[in-house]
Amino acid sequence: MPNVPSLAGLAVLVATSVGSAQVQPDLARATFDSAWSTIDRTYWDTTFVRGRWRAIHDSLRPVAAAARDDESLRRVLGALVAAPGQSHFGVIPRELVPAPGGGATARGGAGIDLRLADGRLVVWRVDSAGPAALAGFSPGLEIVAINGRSVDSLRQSIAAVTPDGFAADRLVLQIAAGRLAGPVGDSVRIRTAGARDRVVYLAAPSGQVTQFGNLPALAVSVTSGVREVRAAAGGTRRIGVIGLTAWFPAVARDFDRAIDAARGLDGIVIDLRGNPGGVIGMLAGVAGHFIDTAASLGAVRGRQLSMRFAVNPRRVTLDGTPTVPFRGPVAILIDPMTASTSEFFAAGLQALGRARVFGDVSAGQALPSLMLRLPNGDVLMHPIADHLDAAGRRVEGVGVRPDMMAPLVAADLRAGRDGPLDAALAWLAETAQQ
Amino acid sequence: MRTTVVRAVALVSLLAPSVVSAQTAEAILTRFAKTVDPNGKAASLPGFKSTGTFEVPAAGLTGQLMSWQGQPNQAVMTITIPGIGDIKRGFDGTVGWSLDAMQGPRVLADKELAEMAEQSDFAAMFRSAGIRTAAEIVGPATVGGEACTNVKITWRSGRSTTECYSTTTGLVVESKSMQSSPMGDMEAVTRYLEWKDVEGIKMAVRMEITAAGAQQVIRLTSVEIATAPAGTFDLPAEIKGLVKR
Repeated sequence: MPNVPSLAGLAVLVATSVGSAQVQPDLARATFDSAWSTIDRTYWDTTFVRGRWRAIHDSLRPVAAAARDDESLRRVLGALVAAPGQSHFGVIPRELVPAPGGGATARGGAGIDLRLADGRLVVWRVDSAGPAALAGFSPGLEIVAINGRSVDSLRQSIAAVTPDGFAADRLVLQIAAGRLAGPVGDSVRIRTAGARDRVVYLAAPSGQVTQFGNLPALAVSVTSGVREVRAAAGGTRRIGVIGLTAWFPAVARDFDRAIDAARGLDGIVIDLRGNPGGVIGMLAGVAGHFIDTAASLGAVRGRQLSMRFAVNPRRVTLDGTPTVPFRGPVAILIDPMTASTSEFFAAGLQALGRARVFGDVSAGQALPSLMLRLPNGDVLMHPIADHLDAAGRRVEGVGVRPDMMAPLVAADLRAGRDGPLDAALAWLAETAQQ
Repeated sequence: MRTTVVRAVALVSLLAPSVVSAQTAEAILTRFAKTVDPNGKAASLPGFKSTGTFEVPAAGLTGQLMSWQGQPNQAVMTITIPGIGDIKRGFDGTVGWSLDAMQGPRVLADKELAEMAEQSDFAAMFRSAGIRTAAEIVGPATVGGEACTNVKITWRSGRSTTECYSTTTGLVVESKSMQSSPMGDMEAVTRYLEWKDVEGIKMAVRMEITAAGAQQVIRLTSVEIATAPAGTFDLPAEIKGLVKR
């Protein structure tokens, strides 16, 4: 299997602040044709392809041929890839995906993550060493405008064209996140409720910067720690909390090390909140830390692709010492920005009864995709198969529903509490055998 | 991906200009063997070292490839891709294995092991009679504009491949097979596009493999007949740990 990525929301996250060079008609046509024919050849929904795809071609190709700059061409390509109405379609500007060896760097960020809590856009996490922390931002603050653009008006405009409230909320988060990213050194103005704009200068994100094929460079990291939680029956349970920010091979060994360090603990929390997905090939290895059989986490099926996500039980440590996969209870944290490969993982372990899922419904953007370089240098992201989890459920458009819903509460954030994590820890404290 | 790649490398073929009438499957395979090894050197070859590049254009992935193959049936290959790291796969004559950061270490078993063992065997490279149990002509075909004859080969392990042999050169032009993997069986189609003379033997140095909906391209920039340094086929520590169990 090609190591296909499944990384949701990318087009929204990155399609900001890039240049718009002139484009020749021949190149515009060739770029459109390449994108259209690739989807025509690979999109798994053949009913759609046979029914509407040609008509979409005929209506949009003349517009593409008339495009005279990148911006107008990308607008046409955007309309093209929006037509199927599925995730993992996108056009990534070439400026964000230099050719291999082209010195890719991750986009700068404000060091702040946003979420919806109590119906408001709020600060969720703040990188303590990042620029937003220096500017005085803290969890729970309500964001009302970014760069002078009102959050309320953004939500209204999205709601007007996105009747599905869940999808609209997710889009608000993705667009807001996109507005907080850009070239290192650029500034963004962020206004919180009852306060003036604060200027935040974007800085290099924390984590390991990695680039996978035609995807933009991203900063990824694994975090780990141990929490001691009192059980009602008495005694203390030691719970490992391991966070994975994206499924990229650059941090796979870090995840293995975190698991090796957690083997003696009473339970483990895998925090996938905000994790947009990544390389599907990592599923087998990560799931194998918790499952001792070659069970299937789910399957994908496309026109040229049919396979199951088989677990590779991890029966040896990094230094070659025989061991067994972790046998204690496992909790997984998800939220509306948990997408794609993270959803494959959470849905798979949930369906197999191996993990209990906490948090909020995930993004519902769960399709494997490829990234093709188009003639103009932009990258076409396109899904190549449909996905069903281990219970035969479709996650795309639906999301993973937690076993225990624990949506964010702004007051908790302001008080320094992490409600979803606390819920998972409480369950593990009662479930784990000492 | 790795299964397919190993297969492509393991099936690296040899060429010499001979023209033999190809009336039967056996005749076609005999012609192939004589074409690729006209001087009967196969049995005395110590092994091969190959280096080159590996690409998945549909994902923008490009990496470096290095492989060793040793008599009679040892092989190890490493593909190094920026953003992924090393993807390794090998067979030491008994144990077939794979190792990469994404999936972790794995000891191959059942059909997958049998395929790996067979693909690592020098006899398979030359389509020797001892490693296959049957061969039959499927029919004529044209691949990439080249007229060829499809031959279905049943190997000792029970797997089968359908390979198209050029009516002009006797070389294999295309190979189709089902590859076993934990993710399920999947068809792989390998096209052999370019050949190179290596010390009197010609080897395929450019191959395109289509599997799981994506194309992979292997270009070997260097192929040499060589003896693998001691330890080349030793099992990595993580694989040894798995075998100990």
